[in-house]
Amino acid sequence: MTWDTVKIHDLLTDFKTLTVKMAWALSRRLSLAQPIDGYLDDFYFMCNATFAIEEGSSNFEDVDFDYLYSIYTKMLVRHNRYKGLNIPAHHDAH
Amino acid sequence: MALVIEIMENTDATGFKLYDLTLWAGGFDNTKITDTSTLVLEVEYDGDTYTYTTPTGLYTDMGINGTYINLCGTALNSYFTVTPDKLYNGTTQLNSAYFPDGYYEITLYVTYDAVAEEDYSHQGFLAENYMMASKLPLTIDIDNFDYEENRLQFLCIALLRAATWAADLGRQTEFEEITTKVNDFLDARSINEIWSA
Repeated sequence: MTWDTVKIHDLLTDFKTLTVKMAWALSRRLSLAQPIDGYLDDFYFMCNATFAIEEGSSNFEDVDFDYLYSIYTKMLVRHNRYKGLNIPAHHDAH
Repeated sequence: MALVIEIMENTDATGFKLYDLTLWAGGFDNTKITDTSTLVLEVEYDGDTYTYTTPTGLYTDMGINGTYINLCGTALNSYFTVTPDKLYNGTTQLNSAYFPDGYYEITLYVTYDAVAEEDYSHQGFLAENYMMASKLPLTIDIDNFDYEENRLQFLCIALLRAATWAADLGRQTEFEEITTKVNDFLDARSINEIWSA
């Protein structure tokens, strides 16, 4: 895929959105004294990747963005799987 | 043409930089702002709206003249620094010295070439929290290493970054929940406020 500035901006927004959702879920889990093991590595990865796209997207080529997008979709699926665990539905509206 | 602004908080919270990223059709021409009082800056914080208010006014304070290529100066990366002592809600000043950490919505208005323009920016101002978190990680007892505590300290720093992005996205609820968690965490480790104490 060819990644123009609009697509890169959209990808960055997707990364930020998912990272925020993960942070929100993590802080909820900490408040409820629930385990966060399943989240941490993914959250750190998303933080680092989001920061990299935000601060240095010119360093990436199309193939890199393809890879990041594929990782993002995996992370999204995993987040949706994690967030359903142990958290009552009314605590996780996002 | 659409007005486009960018905001960047100073690392010591004493002000924020206002950038003008607008693509001014035909180039910026200050004479097209026929009523300089239409240039207005508003800052919404903690449920209140503060307006940039000085005797001379925003247009004059920004120094806008015929040499400017945008609202902020003669270069693409020119900026205007806004300090909290110039922002008033009625007679109430936002703050005399620093921007308290929190969620801000900053809006700039101007009527240019007879067209009313505006742009706003969501911002998480977290300078003090970042300064406090920079004390992490706390001293580690390598002989009695606490893995759980260590990873929580690194998590705190990552949560701060996520809070900044939450504000970028206008997700105020998440911003407030995450920053509350960060503050609880810092308080529990006796990392005190630096300038707001």
